[in-house]
Order: sequence, then structure tokens, then C-alpha cells
Amino acid sequence: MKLQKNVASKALVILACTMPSTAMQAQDLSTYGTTGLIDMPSAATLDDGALAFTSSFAGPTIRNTLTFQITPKLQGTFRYGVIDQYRQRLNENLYDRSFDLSYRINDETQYLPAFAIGLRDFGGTGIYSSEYIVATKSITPAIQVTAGLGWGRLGERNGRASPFTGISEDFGTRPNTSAGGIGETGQLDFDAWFKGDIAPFGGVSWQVTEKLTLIAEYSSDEYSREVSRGLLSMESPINYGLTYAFDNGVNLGASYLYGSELGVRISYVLDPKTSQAPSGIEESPLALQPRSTVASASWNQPNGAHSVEDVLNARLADQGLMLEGISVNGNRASVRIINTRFPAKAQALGRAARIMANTFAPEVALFDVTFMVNGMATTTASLARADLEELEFDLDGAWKSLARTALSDAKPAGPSDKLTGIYPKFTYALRPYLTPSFFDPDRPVRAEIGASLTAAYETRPGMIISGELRRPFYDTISDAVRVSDSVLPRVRTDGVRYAQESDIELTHLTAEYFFRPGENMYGRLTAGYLESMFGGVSAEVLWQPVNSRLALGAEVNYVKQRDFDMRLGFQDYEVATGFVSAYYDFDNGFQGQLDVGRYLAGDWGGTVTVNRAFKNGVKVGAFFTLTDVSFEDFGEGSFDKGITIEIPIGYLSGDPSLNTFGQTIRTVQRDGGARLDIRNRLYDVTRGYRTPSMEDQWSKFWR
Amino acid sequence: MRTAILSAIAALLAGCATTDDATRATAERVLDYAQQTVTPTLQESRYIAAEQAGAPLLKFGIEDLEVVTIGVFDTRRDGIETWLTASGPSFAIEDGFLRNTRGLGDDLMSSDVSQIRAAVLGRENGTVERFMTFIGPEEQTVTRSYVCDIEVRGARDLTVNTLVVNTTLVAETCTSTDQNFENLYWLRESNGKMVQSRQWASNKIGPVVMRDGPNR
Repeated sequence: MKLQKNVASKALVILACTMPSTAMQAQDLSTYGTTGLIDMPSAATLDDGALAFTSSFAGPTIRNTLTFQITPKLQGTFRYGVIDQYRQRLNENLYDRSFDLSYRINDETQYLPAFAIGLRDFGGTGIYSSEYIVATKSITPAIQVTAGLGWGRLGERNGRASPFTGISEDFGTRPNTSAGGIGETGQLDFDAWFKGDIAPFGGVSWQVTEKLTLIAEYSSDEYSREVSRGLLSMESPINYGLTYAFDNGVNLGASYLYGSELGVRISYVLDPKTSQAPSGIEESPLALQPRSTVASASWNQPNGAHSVEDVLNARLADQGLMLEGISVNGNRASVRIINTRFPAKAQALGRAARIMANTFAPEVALFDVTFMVNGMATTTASLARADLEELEFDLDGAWKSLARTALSDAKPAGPSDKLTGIYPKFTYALRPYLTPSFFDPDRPVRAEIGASLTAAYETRPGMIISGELRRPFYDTISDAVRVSDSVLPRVRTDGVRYAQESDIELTHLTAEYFFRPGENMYGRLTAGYLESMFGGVSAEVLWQPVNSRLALGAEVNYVKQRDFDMRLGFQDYEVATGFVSAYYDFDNGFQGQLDVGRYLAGDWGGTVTVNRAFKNGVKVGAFFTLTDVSFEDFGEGSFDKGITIEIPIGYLSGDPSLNTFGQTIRTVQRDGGARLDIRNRLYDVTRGYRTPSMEDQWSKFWR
Repeated sequence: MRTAILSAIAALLAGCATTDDATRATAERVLDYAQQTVTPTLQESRYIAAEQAGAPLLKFGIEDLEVVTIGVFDTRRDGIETWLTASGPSFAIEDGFLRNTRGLGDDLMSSDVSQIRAAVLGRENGTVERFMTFIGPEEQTVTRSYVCDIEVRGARDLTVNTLVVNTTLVAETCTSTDQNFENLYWLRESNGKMVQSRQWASNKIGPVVMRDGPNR
């Protein structure tokens, strides 16, 4: 396809580069990567939806943090910290994963400060375990004062007995959160929250210029664990810092901490709501031509050199829209297309509709566009040619065109609709790949980099035979020496052995069949080497009405564990696994998913997933799985959980593309709560073409 | 082909040197789109064909981005003309007034400039409204209204395509709650048609400068 070398895109990348980036000014981020002063938290929040990446270095401590402003008031944080030589007897560093949550209770008013309540490290090894209540008030536009009360680690300096002991004596003593050892990490430390001694903290920040801020704080954290190990020297409760915000969104902080150490912090805050180029930098659509021009076009004349079908095919293909079928009945023309280019489905529709209007003879008054995905007809959009003509330059053209477009569940293609000569289709690609692996204490980031060869053969719509071979060239995953200590069937924890014992990896080789079992229903059958560790058979159905925010699905698989060499052989372990799933697309940008069923290790349970999905396709989410495997048997982390981030390439480049960067980060990969990693689960395949998703990006209909 | 386009661009730019505010900031750099052409897309093919056929040309400049490009006439429907540029973006114009842009990253998606058009072409001082629609955060359509003062600034001589043209300069000063900009229109004395203009398109794009080219 020509799109890759589109001159327009290249030229306008220059335009895009000169635009302000989508980064936000980093606001008041602490060494913990959350909104705060230097080490201490404040009641400030980031802008709604902001994603902040922070690395900070001070004394023996490194903290890498990802903070997400989940809602305007709720902030969530994942942190990976390293404390040098913390495990002195073992002569080892401490690698620590921790989660924080904070909630701003109220907005600041003229007289009342903003208040926030927060939990730091509420379910990790407990090294940073602390809770706080904090208030922040602007005294002048440039000066903010913060004062708070801390528990746990934040209650160490001059800690006083909790006033809540009057309510219950339990509030007086804080249970030792790390007493259970590594086996109990990951559990919520409810028992300890807001218990034990309380200490005050506070500070002042002064925004000297738009870019420079000076901060001083009184810290209630004595770093007693680090001091007792001789890792740092605590000389003063007062910390000093300055921050400098660069125009490109990078924010640098420098600090003088504990009266003895210099600290550095670098942060980057991303605004997922605003794309690099909100309306895109791809070439313009072709303007609608007057009907008289279209009528006189050669293909609408008797004995024209090209047929309507040829012209339509070429014009759609030029836009990355592949024509699969065409029919004309009376004054209604219908096309079936595969969208290979536009993440905004309304944009694909708008372009296809204009191409139809510029191609079909003027007598054709109604257009149907059906989107085909993996051979399945998903949604049909019906529009009137006269509406297109009326609304092309209308001030409110996007909204009005949505109101006048009917979206319905697509009917199966009749034999006359189908173009001949398209099938069988054969495609292949050779490209590089990168698989990261995180949080091995011996080496926190490992990766496998190599070449991937994929090929797909589509015998007829929906029937796809495909496979992928990988050849790693650089691999540090297989250098790992930690062996699985799992007491469950080792369905995932042998990942290192797969990396070690394979040279050429067959990551999948499957036959897939996609079909529509009925109205609003989708079906999938997959057989073969389903993923890198399992092969077998898989069947799925999904019920998803075109206008519904709710979808329901069921999936059953019978799989056998593959050999470590990732070739054709199997090991002895086999299991039946399956789920019933409910998906809900909330109106406010949140998506929820609940899967209940049997996991790979034979354990029964459920997975809860919540994503915040921005309309431009950026997605930030979290999930956890609880099964009948006990926390003890599960091992480190107690249960499976993690976060996912997905960023479409187009968000960054401004050029439409269906490709995304995606990464799931688990605190630790164990065998409990593990799901089959099957490709093309139906909800992900079809969701984009149902009404709620199409409406999300309808602003691009005329783009 | 490449040489033809390059020399066309060079020739057009040579006629660009005037002292008007509107063009002062432009013309610093011409992007050599032609050299990057591999296989033309349909739009590029149309541009090349129209350019070869001697279709009317308009010069477009984006001041803030220091970009100058040439547009060829593509389509006219219901009085609105669409002009294609070789680099991909297009501009829709009605009697010289910018109705939309496509492909600039922060496009003017649509507009209602009917009051402005009547006042400017009528050369009447006064206060009128304009409406513009953009794509904002979260891909939402955002329509904004502006209150604009129209002021006839008087006669100006302009050099266009090496000829001196007598024009009247009309200014439009617009404000909204948090934005303000000034648009300038040069109307030909002889027939009242717009020969040059500087029109604000969007926050990130800023003003677009348009000037008649040959055949126009």
C-alpha cells in the first residue's frame, strides 16, 4: 500500500514537530512520583487523566514511578524502588514494588484548603507502608502551604500516640506489615492502615517563575530502616528542593535531603486526552463533487474504459479501505470494506461515503457501508447522498451526520455481493520484535529482541491459517537463573526455560474460523499451537448488539502444554479452561470486564479489569484475579494483578494507524490465575465497530 | 515533472516579495515535496494533473510554521471551492473566506462566516459574529463563537504576480472568552473580489495567508 510513503505525511510531520507537544507541565511531583512536595505528599492532583513517569535518585534509593490521575480526584501509583545494600546479611539490594492510592476530598475554596487522604504502599513488602491526611492551600497565586498528619513511615518523627485510641485501642499499635515475609506480600494490609503513632509534616512551595519552583518541607519520615542499616545519615528533618519545568513536558527536580544527601528527580507528564495532532496530519479527503461532474465521468458513461467497480476499488484502496463486496439495488448502493488504516471508524466511514458519492451515478441516493473484520460483517452504516452534500461544510456537520446515519447489525453477504478473485489471500511480514520482562531481582529489566516472520493464508472470508516464527538475536531473559518454586502446575513460571531451550520459536500456528452464528452474535474457533506455551482447541461466542454498551461472551479451551523448545512437541500437562465474560462500556470513558471460570492451572475464580479508555485510543487499566488457590500456594504477590497501558501510534505521530504500543506490567508472574494468551478474542476484534465506539470519534467523520 | 513543479514554485515565490504585514513572516522556506514523491497517491495524481492542465493556483502560507505552498483548484460545489496542495492538506474557500482546512493537525473543521462575508464584501464597518468548529481534547467537536469588529482601513497597492493591483484593505478583529485574532482582507478595486487575505485557522495553526496565483 502506498500509504506508508505518503508524501503528505512526511511533509506535515514538520508541521507537527513545531506544535506544542501533548505533554503537560509536570505539577508538584515528589520523589515518590506522586503529587507532593519533595518527599512529603500534598493535596494537589494532576490534571484529570494525566500519566506521570518519574525517576528519582537520592542516597541509596532509586524510585521509578508511574502515576495515573484515574479520575479528577483519585490518583493511583505503581512504583518500582531499589534500595542499595538494604539486605545486608545477604549483601543484596532491595527491589520493591509498591502501589499507592490518594483521593482529594474537596476542592480548595477561598478560605478552605483542599484535603486529601492517601495510602502509600498499601500492599507490597510494606517498606514504604504509610497513610496520611493532608491539606494544601494557596496563600498567594505563587505560594502554597501544605500540612498533614502521617501514620506508619510518615508517623516516625516525634510520633505521638493516635488520638483514635479513644475509639479503639487497636489504633494505638501498628502491626508489622512485613512480618509475613515475601509470602504475604501483595495482600492488602487493612489491619495496619491509620494505626500506630501519628506525626505532623508540612512545607511551602513558591513558584518563583512560570518554570522555577522552590520548596522547603518538614519531613515526618525518619528513614529509620535505612539509618539503622547505615545506608544514610539523618541530620535534619528539613528538606530543600527546586524544580524546573521545560517546555517539552520534562520536569527536573533537585533537592538537599536529610541534611546529608543530594537528590535528583526527572519527571514527564503526558496528557492522554489530547493527541499530538487532534485532527490528524494525513492528507485531506477528496471533496464531494457536484452530481453533474460525477454523472459525466467516463465510468458512468456507456462504453467507459473503466467500470464503477474498478474506480471504487482503486479509490478505496488508496485510502486503505479494501473493497470486499459491492451491490446496487435500485437507488441503494452497498459496499463491504475492510478498514486497514483508520482508528477512528467514523473517519473510515466518512471517506468511504464520499468516495461512493464521487463514483456512483447520481441516481444512487442511499449508501450502505458494511465493515468487515476477520471475515465477519460487523456493522452497516446507512447514509443518504443528499445528507452528505448538505452537511459537508455545515458548522455542525459532524453531529448532524451522526444523527442522520443509521448503524445496524450487518446482514450476511448475499452471493451476488461478493467480489470474485479476492480469495485466497496470502500475506506475510518480516519485522523486528521486542519482548521485555520485568522485576527479576537479579536484573530488573530483561528483554528478548529478534526477527519475526508472520504469514497468513485466508482461504475465504473468516477462514485464516496463520503462524509466526521468531528468531531471537539478543536475549537476556534466558540468562535468568531463578527457577520456579511454584507448587502449582507450572503453566507460566517456566517462562525462562522456554527462552533458554528454544532457538527458533514457533509462537503460534493456527487455523481460525470467524463467523456470525446469528444476529448480534459472533463466533470464533481456533485450533493449533495457540500461543508460545500451549496448543489445543479454543471456541468462543460473543453477544454484542450494535447499540449496546453491554456485551456477554463465553469461551472454552482444551489445551496441552508445549515443549520448552517451542517447536511441535507437547508435554504431559493438559487442562480444560474457559470463562464466561461480561463487558461494559461506561459512558464516562471507563470500561469494565469480569471473567469468571477456570484458569490454566485448573484453579477456579474470576478476573476484574477496569480500563480508562480515552477516545483517541489511549488506554490505561488495571486488573486482578482471585482464584481458589490460597495466597500461600500462589507465592510471591499472593494473587495475580497488574496494569496495562496501550498507546496508539497515531496518538504520537498524528498519522492514522491501527497499530498500538501496548504493555502489561505484572508485579510478578505466577501460575495461579493465569489465562490462555489466545489471539483475536472477539470483543477486542469487534468492539470498535459497535455504536458506542464509533460515536466516540465521530468528530472525524468529515476528516 | 519534479523540475516543473520546483520551477513553478520558485516562479510563484518570486512574485511574493511585498512589504505587507501579511506576507512578511512567510516565504522563509519551501519544502521540497516533489523530491519526496515516490508513487503518487490519488490526491497527488490529481494535484499534478491539475497543475499540468494549467488549473488556477493559489499561494498558501502558514505564518507560525513558516511554510509556503501552492494550491491548485480541485472542486467547486455550492459556491465553495476546495484547493489541494501537493503536500496533502486542502483548504475550502467561499468567495475568498476560509471555510475549512484538512490535514494541518489542528484543522478548522467547519465554520459559519456568513455575517463576516457580508460585512467585508460590503465594506461596512460594524460588529458581527463568526463561528468555528474544531476537534478538541478527547476528540470532541468544539464549536466556538467570536465577536468581530469589521474596519475598512482604506486603499492599498499590492503587487500580485508582478502586477500592481489597487485594493481596499478590510480588517476583522475577533475576540472570544479566551482567544483573539485579527484577519485581513484585500479586495480588488476593479471587481470587489478578494485578491489576498490573512485568516486565522486554529489555535495551533494560527493565520493562513492566501494570495491569488496565475490563472486565478
